[in-house]
Amino acid sequence: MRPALRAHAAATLAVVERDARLFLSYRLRPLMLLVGPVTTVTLFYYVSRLLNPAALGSADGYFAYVVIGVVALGVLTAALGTTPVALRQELVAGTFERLVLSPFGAIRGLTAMMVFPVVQALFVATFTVIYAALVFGMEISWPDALLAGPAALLGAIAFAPFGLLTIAGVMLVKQALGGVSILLTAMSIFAGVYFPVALLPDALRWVSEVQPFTPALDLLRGLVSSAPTTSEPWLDVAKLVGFTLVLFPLSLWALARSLDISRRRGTIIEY
Amino acid sequence: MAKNADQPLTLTGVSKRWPRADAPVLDGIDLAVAPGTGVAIIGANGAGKTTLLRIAAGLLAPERGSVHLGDLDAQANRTAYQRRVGFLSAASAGLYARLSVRAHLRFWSRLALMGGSEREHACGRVMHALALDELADRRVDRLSMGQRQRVRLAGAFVHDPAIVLLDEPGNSLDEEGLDLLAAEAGRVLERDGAVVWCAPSGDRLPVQVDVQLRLQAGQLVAA
Repeated sequence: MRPALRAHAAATLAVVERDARLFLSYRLRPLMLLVGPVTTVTLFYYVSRLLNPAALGSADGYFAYVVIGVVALGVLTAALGTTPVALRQELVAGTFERLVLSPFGAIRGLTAMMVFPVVQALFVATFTVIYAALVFGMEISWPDALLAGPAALLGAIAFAPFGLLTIAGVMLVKQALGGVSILLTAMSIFAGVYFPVALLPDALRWVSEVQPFTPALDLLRGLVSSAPTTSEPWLDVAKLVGFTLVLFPLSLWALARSLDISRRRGTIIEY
Repeated sequence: MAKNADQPLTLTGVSKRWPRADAPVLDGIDLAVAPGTGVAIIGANGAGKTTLLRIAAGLLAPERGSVHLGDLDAQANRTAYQRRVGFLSAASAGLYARLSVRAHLRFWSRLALMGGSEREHACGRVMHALALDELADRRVDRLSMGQRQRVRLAGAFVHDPAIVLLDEPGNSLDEEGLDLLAAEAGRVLERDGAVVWCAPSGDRLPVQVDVQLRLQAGQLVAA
């Protein structure tokens, strides 16, 4: 590996290591991380016992459908919402300044800050699926499920541009976090986290096609469970790659612009 | 060895006006800091010292004018520029409460894109220079304010910059701390680097000062 590339890789790992150290410095945090998914999965298992949805075949079909929806939403939340919150904390603590003034730079630093939350979310996703399988008997499609990791990672990369755009928003107006909650809620409705998008009114169905969460969910459901999907896996992968190729450069450009504007306004380290 | 330590820091026609302010805080500032020079910039609270230093560091962009280190533009050649500049902001912020002194320095040295063996050496050197060895594994929220200031200073010096910009660096430091800071700044000057030091007054500057300037009404004048 070239020295410059190695130095950038080391800097990226430094950001990940810092985030991990800060996370683990609170001893109960790893445990608390798992409480939410356990509660949600347990809740939806018993809710699914009340249902016999025709669209998903059976109560077990709905349970599997919603478990994959919940774990994918966790990855989306990590990619979209965690780093903007961390940026706000860095601005308040005054630590962002060092990142801006480092040779590694603010753009690479902020992008690197998305890695640890996503890795953490992928770990929680894996735990959640295993918990649902072991405790509630959720059926897992082996060996296709082994491809779920790379698929979830591809989904996270496709979501990352939305996170970068949110970070750009935080840089400019310092208060973009309310928008994150609205966006996550909208995504959960229009991508089919809790119910199939086929149930949406025709006038709203198009929304599910213009963002990467729908194909990511579809792909994961096809790989991990026997829940019905709406398109072929290769088409979902193509959509995710397409969204990434279009949105990533655009979001990096937007982030660079927001940093330049903040430098000129003098607000780059304000909160 | 300080990087490109023989290149001057040059501010040319730097102006900055804050929104809704009647007058610019910096009004066409010209400043040349030659290699091997210690510059003190003094001025009343609110005179614009911090803004000037932030612009010189590349943290803020001026409305007009430019900042160069040699032929490197602070905004256009950001990566190369930041490799050569060390910066200490005023106040006491900028530390991760739950990280140790050593973890901070390792983190900052990696952000500085230093090589592996160079990093370890640099972290060890600067901890020793600022008497942080015994505190290396202690969390910074368990340090005194003066000790935290020494950690912050270590961050400004760890990558062996050609020019160091220090905004009220003596805050919270005792006599020993000031001596350590002076020695570290002196080390930069000895290697033909430069040090710019901002403070409200020039009464107590423990570092070598070759040029003393006063910032008032947006202009730099001889103090």
